[in-house]
Amino acid sequence: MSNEPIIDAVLSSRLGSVVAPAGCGKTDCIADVVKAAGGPAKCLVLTHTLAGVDTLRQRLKEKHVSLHRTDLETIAGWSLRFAAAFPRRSGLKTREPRGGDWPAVYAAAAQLVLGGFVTSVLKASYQRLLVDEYQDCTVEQHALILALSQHLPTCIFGDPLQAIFGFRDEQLADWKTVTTDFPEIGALREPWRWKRVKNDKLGCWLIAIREQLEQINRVDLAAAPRCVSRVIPQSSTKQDLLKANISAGRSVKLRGEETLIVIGDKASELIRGSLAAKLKCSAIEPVACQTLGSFLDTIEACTGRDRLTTVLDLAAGAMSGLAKAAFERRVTRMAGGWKPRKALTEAERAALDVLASNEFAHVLRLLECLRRQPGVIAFRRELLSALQNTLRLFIAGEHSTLADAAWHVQNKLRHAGRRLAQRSVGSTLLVKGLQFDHAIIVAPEKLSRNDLYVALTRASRTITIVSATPILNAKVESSQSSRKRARSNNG
Amino acid sequence: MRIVHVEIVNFRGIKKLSWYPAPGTNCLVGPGDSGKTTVLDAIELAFAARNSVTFDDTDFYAVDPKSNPIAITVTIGDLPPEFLKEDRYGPYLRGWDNAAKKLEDEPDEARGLEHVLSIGLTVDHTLEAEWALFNERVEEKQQSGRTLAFQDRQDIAPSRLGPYADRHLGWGRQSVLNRITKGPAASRGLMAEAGRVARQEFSKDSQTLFADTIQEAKLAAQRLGVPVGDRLHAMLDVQAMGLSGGGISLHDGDLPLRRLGVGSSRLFIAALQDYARAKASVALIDEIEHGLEPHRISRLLRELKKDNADGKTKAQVFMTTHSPVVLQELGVGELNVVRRHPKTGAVSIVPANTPYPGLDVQSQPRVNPQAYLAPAILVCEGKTEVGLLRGLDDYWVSKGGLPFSTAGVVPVSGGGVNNAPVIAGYFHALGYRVGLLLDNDCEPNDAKILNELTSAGVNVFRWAPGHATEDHLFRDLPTEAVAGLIRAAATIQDGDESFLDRLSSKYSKKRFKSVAEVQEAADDTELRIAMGELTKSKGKPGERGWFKDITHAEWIGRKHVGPHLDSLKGKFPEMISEIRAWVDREQ
Repeated sequence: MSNEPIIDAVLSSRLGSVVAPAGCGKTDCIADVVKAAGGPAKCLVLTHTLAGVDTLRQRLKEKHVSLHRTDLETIAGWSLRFAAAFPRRSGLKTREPRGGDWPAVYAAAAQLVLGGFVTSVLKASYQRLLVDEYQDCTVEQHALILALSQHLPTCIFGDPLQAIFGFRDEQLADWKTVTTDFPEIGALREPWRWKRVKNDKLGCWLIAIREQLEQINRVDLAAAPRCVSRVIPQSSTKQDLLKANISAGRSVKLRGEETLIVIGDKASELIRGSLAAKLKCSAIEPVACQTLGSFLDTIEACTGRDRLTTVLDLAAGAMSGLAKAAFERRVTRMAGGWKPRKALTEAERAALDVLASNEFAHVLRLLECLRRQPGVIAFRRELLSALQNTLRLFIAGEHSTLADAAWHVQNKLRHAGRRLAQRSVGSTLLVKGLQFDHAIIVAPEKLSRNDLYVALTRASRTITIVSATPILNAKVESSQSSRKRARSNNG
Repeated sequence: MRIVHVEIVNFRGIKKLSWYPAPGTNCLVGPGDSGKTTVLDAIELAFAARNSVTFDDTDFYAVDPKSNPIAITVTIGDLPPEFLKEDRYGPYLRGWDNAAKKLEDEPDEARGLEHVLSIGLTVDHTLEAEWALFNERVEEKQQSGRTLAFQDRQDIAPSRLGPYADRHLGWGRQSVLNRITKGPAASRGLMAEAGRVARQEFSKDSQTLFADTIQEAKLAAQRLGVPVGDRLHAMLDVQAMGLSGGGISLHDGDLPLRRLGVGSSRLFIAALQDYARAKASVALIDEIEHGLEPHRISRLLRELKKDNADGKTKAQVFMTTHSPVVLQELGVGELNVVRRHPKTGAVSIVPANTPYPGLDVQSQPRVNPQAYLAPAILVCEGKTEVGLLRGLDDYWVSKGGLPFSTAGVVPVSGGGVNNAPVIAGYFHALGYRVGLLLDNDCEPNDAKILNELTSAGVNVFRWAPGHATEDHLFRDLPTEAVAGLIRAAATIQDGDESFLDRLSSKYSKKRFKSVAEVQEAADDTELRIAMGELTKSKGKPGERGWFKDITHAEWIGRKHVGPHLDSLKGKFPEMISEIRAWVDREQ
C-alpha cells in the first residue's frame, strides 16, 4: 500500500488537508506519515475517540513505529491535559469535565495556545500536528487546532461525507471553512478495505457513488455490484416492512467469525432495541445512553408501584422472553395479599421487595434475577450492564448520586472500549468508524446523505438494503439541524 | 542553566531566606556564621543525588527537626530546550519576570516571562529527603509530583570547589574526572578494564613474591587431605581490593597530584571543572582565596568571568570570601552582603550595589574592602581617627581588653566630613551595625543627614563643639604627651627649621629656636591651640597637618591617649568611652 505522494505532500506542507473516503487507508496513511517524519521531536496525532486512538496505536505498532515518536491522544484528552497543567493561563474551570463542560475545555486549551504562554513547550515537544476524523470537529475544536497550527506544521485528515451529527447542540466546523484554513493537498482514492477481501468491485463502486451523493443526494443501486442486494417490502405497511426486515436478516449467512451490522433509525434507541430483538442481535448503545439517563432520573423520583413499573418497562425494552404483563400481574396480586400455590421465584421476591422498600439494592437484584430467567435474551445488554454497574457503584456508596455513578461507569467504558457481538444493531452515529463483514440497511429513506454514505461503507463483503426502489434518495435535512452533531467523544 | 531564585527554610542556621541571585558572579560576603556556606550547601543539595547525602538533626534550624522541617527551593532558568518538552518537565514550568524579579506560578512567554523550573528539596523529622519539582499546582495537588531525572540532575548539577577538593583528583564518586570520562557508565567500564589490567600485571610477579607462603599453605592443606592443585597462587581479589574509582588518581610522574599545594590543586580542579561544564553552568566555590596568592586569585576570577563565544556570561558563579583582595577584584554588582538576624534566624542577602543617595557605591569595594567583611563598622571622618582608634585598640588589648576584631568592629576612613556620613548610611542600609565618628569643628553640607542616620540607628559620635581630633589631642593631653607629639610633628615635617617656620605662622607670641624649646613650652595654652590648628590643616604636602596617616595616629593612640585616658577630663575621654561601650555592646 503506497501513499508516497500524499506522504510527501503532507510532510512538505505547512498547512494542509487530505480527503480520506471510507476504507481508503487513512489510518495507514497517518501511520506512514509519522514513520516518514522521523525524529527526534514527536508528531502530535489527535483524533476524536478513544477507539480511534486505539486503532492508530495498533497500526503504528504494526508498522514498527516507536510509540515514543508520537503523542497520540483524543482532542478532548490533550486539551484537558494541557489546559489543566496551566489552569490560571488557560482559565480551565474543572478538571473533571462532563458533557456540557467540554466546549469550555477546548476553549481553555485554545486560550493557552493563542495566548502564547507555552509556545516553546509546543515547539520543543512536537514537530508537527496530524488530526484524524476532522469532519467530526466542532467549532471549538477547530479553533483549537487552528491555534496550534500557528506553531506547528499541521495536516488534517477527514471526509466531509462521513460527518454525522447527533442530538446535542454542538456545532460542527463547516468543511468549506476548514479547507480554507487547511487547503486540500491530496485525496486518498484506493479502496484498500475492499481490495483486502478481494471485493474490489464494491470498493470502486463506493468511491464512484461519492460524486452522485455530493451532487444530487442520491445513490443508484442499479449500478451496484452483485454483492449489494435489495429486499423489496410488499407494501409500506408496518407489518410488511417488518417482514422485509426479518427476511433481510435471514438472507445474510455469516461464515466463521464474520460480523453483521444492522443499521437502523438513528433517532430512536427503542426502535433499534426492538429491531435487535426481532433480528436476534445486540444493540450497540451510545455511551452516554439516553434511556439510561432518563430511567435513573425516574426511579430516583418514584417509589413502590411506580418504581416497579418503571423497572419492568425498562427490562422489557432490553430483554425478550420476560412475559412482563403476567409477571407484573402476579406480583401486584401477591402484594395485595394473595397467596399463590407455586413457590415464589427469586425475581418475584425481588419485585415484592422493590414494592416494600426504597433500597436500590432491590432494583439491582430484580434486574439480575430477570436476566437470569430461562428463555430470557438480553438484546440491549450494553444498557443493562451499564445500569447494573451504576447501581452497584451507588449501593456500594462510592458515589453520592446515581448520575455521578453513571458518569463514572460510562467514563470507564470509554476507556475500556466495547466488545461487539457478532450480530449487532446500531445507528450510523454509533457505527461510524467501525468495520463489519456484512451490513443490512433498513429504512434507508430516513438516512441523510452522510448517513447513507456511512451506512453503505461499513461492510466489506455484502450489503443488503431494505428498499422499495433501486434509487436511494438521501433525506434532506433542515440547515439548522445539519450543523449540529453528536458530542465528539461519544465513543 | 542559571539560578534565578533560592529559597531556604529551616536549613542549619537559616530560618528563612529568599534571594534572587544575579547572572554571572555572586560573591557572598558577611561576617562568619551569617550563613554564606549554608547557602552554597543548600544549592548543592537541591541538585544532589538521593543516595549521596544523609541528613542529621544538626541540619535542621535550631536542631529541632520536629518543628522545623527543611525546605529548599531552587528555581532555575536558561533551561536546556529538551526540558521544555511536554513529556519531560513542560507541564511543571513556571514563569520568571526578570525585570520585576517576580516568580509567577505559570509560564507566559508572550509577556516575556522566562521559562523556569523550581526544584524543591524537603526533609522532615524522619530525615528522609524528598526531591521534587515544585510549583503551586503540585502543592495544591492539581498536578502529580515529578522529580528531575537522575541523569538530568547530574547534567545540570553545579560543580563545587570546596576548600579541600582532593576527591576531584581521583576517579571516585562525584569526581569531575568522571564527568570528563564521558559519564559514569563509561567510567565504570574503564574501572572494570583497569581491574583486569591490574590482575594481569600482578600475576606476573606474584608467583615469586608469595612463593614461600604458598608452599606452606600447600603442605598444610595436604596434611589434612584437602585437595589443592599445583596451580595454587596469589591473585588480586578485585572485589576485596575494591578497585574503585577512588583508588585511582592523577599522578605527575610518581607523585600524586593531590600532593600539590592547596592553591595549585584548587586551580587545577577549577580548570578541570571548567572543562567538564557543558550543561552545568553553575559553580559553587568556597572561600575562593583559599591557598591562593593575590595574583592567582585575580587570574582565577578573570577566568571564571570570561565571556563565552556567544557573548553571554560564561557561568553563574556563587562564591564566598573573607579576603579584601577578592573584593577589590570584583565589581560592586557582584557582591552580596549576607546578614543573619541573630534572634530570628532570618537571613537576608542584599546586593552591595543597592544605590545610596550621594554615594558612588562602585568605589566602595576597592576603597573599603575590609568593611564588607565585618559585622560592625566604625566609620571615621579621616585616617587620623582610624589610626587613633586602632592605637587605642592596641592599648586596651595590652591591658587585657577585648580586641575590636573579636567584637567584630572594623574602623574605616570615611574620607571627610561630607563623605563619611554617606558611607555610614550605605553600610547601615546593607545591614551592618554602624558607628560614625566625626570631628566637631565643621558640619556636613547636608545638614539633615546626621539626624537621619541617628534615627535610622547609626550611632554618631562627635567631639566637643569646635573640636577636631587634633584639637583634643593638643589641648587635653598632659604636658609630657604634648611634648612627645611636638617632637613627632617636627620629625614628620622633615626638618626642625621647617617645623619652626610653620609654627611661627600660627603662633606669634614667640619665635622658637629649637624643637626642644617648643617642647618645654608644651604647657602654654596658646601654643597647644596653635599646634592643634596646624596639625589638622589640610593642603599640599609640607603644609598639610601632621599625623594624617594611620600609622602616626595609631602611635598616638597607643602611646599617648590610651595611657592617659583615666586622668583626662571632658568630652574627649567621655566620647572615647562611649565608643568603647558601643564596641562592647552586644549586637
